[in-house]
Order: sequence, then C-alpha cells, then structure tokens
Amino acid sequence: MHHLWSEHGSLVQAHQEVQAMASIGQLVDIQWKLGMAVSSDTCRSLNSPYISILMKIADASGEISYKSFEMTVLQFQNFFRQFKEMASVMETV
Amino acid sequence: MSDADDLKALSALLNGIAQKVYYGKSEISEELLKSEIYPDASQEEFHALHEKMRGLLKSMASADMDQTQLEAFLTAQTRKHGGVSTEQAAALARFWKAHRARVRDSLQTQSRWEPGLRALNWRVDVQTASSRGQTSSTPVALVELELGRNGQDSEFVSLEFDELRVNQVLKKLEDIQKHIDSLVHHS
Repeated sequence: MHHLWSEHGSLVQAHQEVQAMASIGQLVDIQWKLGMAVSSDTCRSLNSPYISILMKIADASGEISYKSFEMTVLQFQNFFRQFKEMASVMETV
Repeated sequence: MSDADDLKALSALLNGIAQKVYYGKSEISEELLKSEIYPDASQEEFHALHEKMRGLLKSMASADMDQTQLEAFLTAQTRKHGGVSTEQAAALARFWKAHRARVRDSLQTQSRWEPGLRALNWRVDVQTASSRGQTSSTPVALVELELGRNGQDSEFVSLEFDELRVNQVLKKLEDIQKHIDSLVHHS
C-alpha cells in the first residue's frame, strides 16, 4: 500500500468505478492572457498586472462549457505552485 | 470644539468616508457620519465639509499620490480660497500615509470585474485496475476551483486531470511565468 500525503491531504484510494460525478469536468483547453490594468474611472494610475484564464471544459456527456477568471500575479504564482505540487505527487505514484 | 477635537473629528470623518467609498461598508451614510461625528453642526456645514473631504480623498486616491505629490497638493489646498487649513492638511497627510496602500488595493480589486480565483483545492487519487491479475495504478488529480466576483457568491468548478493533462497545464503556466518575468524586467 502506498500512502501519499500532500499538505492538502491527498488521498490514495482504490477507485473501482469510473468517475461517476456528473459535475466533474475535463479541461479540454486553457487559454491565457496577461494584461495590465492601466487606469480606471476611479484610479488614474492602476498599474495592475493580471492574468486572465479561459477554460474550455467538457462534462461527462461531452458538452462543452467555458469558464473564465482573473488572477493577480501573486494568486497566479500560488496557482502555478499548486499544479507543480500536483504533478510531483502524481509522478511518485 | 477645541482644535484638538476638531482634528479628531476630521480624522474620524476621513476614516468614515474611506470605509464607505473604498472599504465596502455601504451601510455608512452621510447622515450616520454626521450624527456620530458632528452632531452639533448644521446640515449645510456638514455636507460642505463632507463633500470637500470626499473630493480631496478622491484626488489623492486617483493619482495614488506619493509623499512629494501629496505635499504639493495639500500646500496648494491651504493656499486657495475655500481650501483647507494647515491643521486639516496635516490630518489629511497623516490619514493618507496610513491608508494609501489599502485604498490602492481596494481600487485595484474594484477594477476587477471578471470572477476572481478565491480558492484552489486538490487531491490526487489512485485508480487501480486489474486485468488478468495485473494491476496498474493511474493517478488522477481532482481539482476544485472556487470562483467569484466582488460581493457575489462563489461558483465551484470541479475538474479532473490525468498526469498528461496536468503537465500540459504546467507547460502553459510556465509560459505565463516567462511572460510575467519579461514584463517585470521591461517596466
């Protein structure tokens, strides 16, 4: 038995069934945009970089949906770090 | 009111305005501020003071004034007709020094209209399958993204990834990081 733990409590489970939850999707494609908010009607000098992400998601039946969201540079760096951790955990399985 | 009381009241007013305009406390009204801070002032007097301070804060926030700009700005205000006294200018300077970063943060957040990433949770499961006595284990990452716009309820997006997909995403994220780095170095 392998026991793998990440600080997020990753679990090792025997998964006999196929992913059954209809609400879990697969990421088909991910597009990104690095932008800079220059100014707004309330702030003449925003100088605020942001990362905009567009996800193309397929649900269990193959239906496609899109979700988009924005991150600050700090949030992006955390996002990046989490995916690196995920990859390293998966690698050791 | 004594001078000291005057300035204390002014600081409280500036704080109240900031709470409402920049820190999201929409329940704070002009009437509330008057009743709490300047109960004895006339309606017109208070309104004029409130508007003046609101306008000054707006200018300071809009330009994200640094020390130099602030000094020049406030000095000009003390010199013009219907401006501020030197004591009031000092109170404004003190206030801005304490609140500048937070106000800036708030303005940046308010300018974001797309959903933000509120949280990211994940775990890795191992799928085991056996075929003719041989078992293989495949890792599957389950990711939950919590997305939400300012002041609105969160939306949860659940996704699953095999190792290949995770690495594909990682490649894109590395690309983004490269671009962020070059953005920082060219600015």
